[in-house]
Amino acid sequence: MSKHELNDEILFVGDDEDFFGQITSSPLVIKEDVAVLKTSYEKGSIFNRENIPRIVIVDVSNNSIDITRVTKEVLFYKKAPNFKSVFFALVCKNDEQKKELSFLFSTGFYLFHIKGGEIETFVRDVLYIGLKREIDFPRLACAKGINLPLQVGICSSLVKMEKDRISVEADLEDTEEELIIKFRQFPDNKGIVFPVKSSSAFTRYYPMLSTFYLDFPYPGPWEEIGPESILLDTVETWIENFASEFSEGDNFTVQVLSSDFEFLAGTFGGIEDRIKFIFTTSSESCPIEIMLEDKPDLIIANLSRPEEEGITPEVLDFLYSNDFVVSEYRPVIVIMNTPSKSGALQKLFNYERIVASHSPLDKDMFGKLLEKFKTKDSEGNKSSGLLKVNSPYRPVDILQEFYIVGLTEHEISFISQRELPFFAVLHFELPIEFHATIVPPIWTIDKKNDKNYYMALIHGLSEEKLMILRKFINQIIHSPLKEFTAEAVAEKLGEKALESAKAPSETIAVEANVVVKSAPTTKKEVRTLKISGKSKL
Amino acid sequence: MKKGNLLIVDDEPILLETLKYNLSDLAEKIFLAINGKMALEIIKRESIQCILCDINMPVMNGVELVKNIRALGLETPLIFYTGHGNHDLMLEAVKYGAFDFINKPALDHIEEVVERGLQVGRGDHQESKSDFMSEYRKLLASQ
Repeated sequence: MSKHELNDEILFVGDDEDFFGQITSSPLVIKEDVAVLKTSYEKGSIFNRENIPRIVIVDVSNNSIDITRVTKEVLFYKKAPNFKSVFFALVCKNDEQKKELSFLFSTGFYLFHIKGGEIETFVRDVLYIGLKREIDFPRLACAKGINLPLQVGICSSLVKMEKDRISVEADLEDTEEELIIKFRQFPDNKGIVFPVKSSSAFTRYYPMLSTFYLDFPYPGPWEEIGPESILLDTVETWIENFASEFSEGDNFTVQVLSSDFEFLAGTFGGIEDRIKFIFTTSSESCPIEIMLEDKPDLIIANLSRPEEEGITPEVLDFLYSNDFVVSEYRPVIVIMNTPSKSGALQKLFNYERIVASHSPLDKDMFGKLLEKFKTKDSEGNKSSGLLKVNSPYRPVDILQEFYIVGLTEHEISFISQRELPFFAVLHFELPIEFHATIVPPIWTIDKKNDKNYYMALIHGLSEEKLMILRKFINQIIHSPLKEFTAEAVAEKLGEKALESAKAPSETIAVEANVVVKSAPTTKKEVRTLKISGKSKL
Repeated sequence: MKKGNLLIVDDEPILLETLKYNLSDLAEKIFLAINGKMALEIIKRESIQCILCDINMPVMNGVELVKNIRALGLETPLIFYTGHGNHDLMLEAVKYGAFDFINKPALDHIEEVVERGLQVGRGDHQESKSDFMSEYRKLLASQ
């Protein structure tokens, strides 16, 4: 198996034997000849195995899994190229739990399923996205030609909040001029228009396309203050209220330069919290300005051998010749897999804080390097407005206007002014609240005038919500909508149905072991999906 | 205990002779070559435990020499002496294995570096993971 290649397997993380059995016995799983493994969760257990599975399904329905821990593990691995394409899906027990955990959409989970829902639909979606194979989907009743605009949220992360500015990581190109941010914790908030101060095609914390730095649009001294205006006092109050939502910050930052990150498998279990990792495969994959700003305390460069492509001494030379090593900033640099000695490298880079080893970086060595560094350098606390991963204030929607063209109980098609990446997760509030993941179209669609025409799979609907959506579709097939507003939807559905589509919330808790089962059967010809366009997976 | 053989490679005959004289106590035998090509012939013929080499030479420079030596499957320690403007050659040399670099013309601490090179070349001291970790710990402690 070549590096960065994943195994066509599903890893089921959870304790529900019945649900696991439903997946293994799914006709589609058998038809597609996919092995299904099972493990209970314990810290670091997801990738603590020889092969990296292409699909991971985490079942949190019985509240026995520490969801914050799982999320941190997913975020850790999603930063590394070898694991970036692993597809994560989450299984919840009901709509309430799904609502509470919807913050996970911006952390690397792309699909939700509520137990009791149609398992074959879930398996089909998982295999389509996770394996990127051509899968046959059933034709469902479709409301076509809706042709109405609708404001939709792109699930994003509010990473940092300070009184003057915020930073947001999102699945949009870094060329946006302004963004409309909707903070989920303020239901009345219709979205604040933020001019983009700067942006970068690199994210530090969440597996998304870009980071945006946004200044609060405070009114100037001569500007009129209206009910929509954002005032400094308001933001200061928010920050005060957020106090318990801020993380303690990172103790230290570690940058790892390597062409292959397979050694990370199984390392998470031994890694302490509050270490920020930057995984870099080349000088292009980590812009110099990020390094200058983040100033990694420990840099581990796992060099490639001369005959291989990857991390070469030139990459290091490029970084350090850009005034990276300045007088005040003196990182420890560890160079692995080099036939040269520390002394030679110190003289080459004219920098004495370098140690070298001929051994390639492995799991054991990585753990030891972090362990020793931690004991030396763990006093620092660089906290500054970073929101906790599990803070309910962290998930935000970036509002975009879509032109909805088609809707079934499983797919929604729309035109977007902006280009969007496949597998970005969208948050719809109409006709009912649901999430949908952009996928390569499951049907051939007519692209008119080269517009950004997309299809997204609707998922994580409870039976109750599914009934309402079905009713809505049937209604508009026979009598089309005139406008896509809450009032127009209410008219089609009736207030009662809408009320039952709204769900309250509840809390989750902890724990886990390893068991393995598999379901490979006979070989079949695999039809791989051709993805043209930007993709997150 | 045998001291091991040293090969010195430089296109300046006077420097070759001076280095041979200065380092004669450290090695069993000292071989001299005026370019990389000649050095390679000696390496194929003789048992060499350490090579002291100018990085910038005509015919075959130090980088070409180290590439050829590694292609023969030899891990012999190479100490390069370098001058101003040799940064790109140094970058290339570390890919194939540089034991150390010494600045020309001062050649400070050359005896000490050659002695360590010979020791490694004789196989008296193989780098282990624990050596590396202790070097790493020392570096952290010096912060």
